Amino acid sequence: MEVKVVYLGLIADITGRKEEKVKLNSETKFSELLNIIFMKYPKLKELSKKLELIFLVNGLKYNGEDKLYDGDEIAIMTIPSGG
Amino acid sequence: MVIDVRITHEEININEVVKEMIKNSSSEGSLVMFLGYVKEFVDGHRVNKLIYEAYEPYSTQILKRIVSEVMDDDITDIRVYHRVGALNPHEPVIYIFVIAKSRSKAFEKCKELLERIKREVPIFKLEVRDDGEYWIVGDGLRIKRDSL
Repeated sequence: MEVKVVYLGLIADITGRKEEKVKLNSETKFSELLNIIFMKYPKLKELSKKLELIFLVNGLKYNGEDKLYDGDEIAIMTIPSGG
Repeated sequence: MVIDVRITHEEININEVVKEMIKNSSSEGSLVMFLGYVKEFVDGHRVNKLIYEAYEPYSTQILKRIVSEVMDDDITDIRVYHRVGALNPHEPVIYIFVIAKSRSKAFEKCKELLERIKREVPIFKLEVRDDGEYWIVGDGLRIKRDSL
């Protein structure tokens, strides 16, 4: 299966891209995807120790559900700064 | 009940919105409005522009959900507009208009909306100023872009 990962705000500066498609086997869990991303972008992992990262899955705040589905869109961001 | 929510690049014609809201109202007698705009100076440094990014279509969806959660039977008209793009100092960013059955309710809901929007809607800002570029995280933490 394939999921889309979107990097928002300053996260995109760290990854050097705003989004990417990630191919996974069908059993891959959310936590494993996160490990893949952190291994690819160690600076992002470092940042996660200092700043709260927020994850959205298809526009909804990540609720601990570990299962991913083909076509899911996962966004990674810091606390928003609207207004 | 009227609800209008939008994320837009365009400046909003405040007079037009206020006139329309007042014209549509019947037994209410006040309108509460909040307007947030770009600061000219931060920490003693001149701000050249503030660049806003949204995560569409989800930012608009989340904004609409917040407004629907904040709505109650005492609110008769509510309009929320958030601008994105590169904005100059003094340019308006966020507009919240509320007409309710009582002024206290209108103030309360306006404040509640503002706090939730700032915290929950995926909108991000990059502050471009005379001493560099800063990502703003949450309600004021600044991270210099070249330190990432």
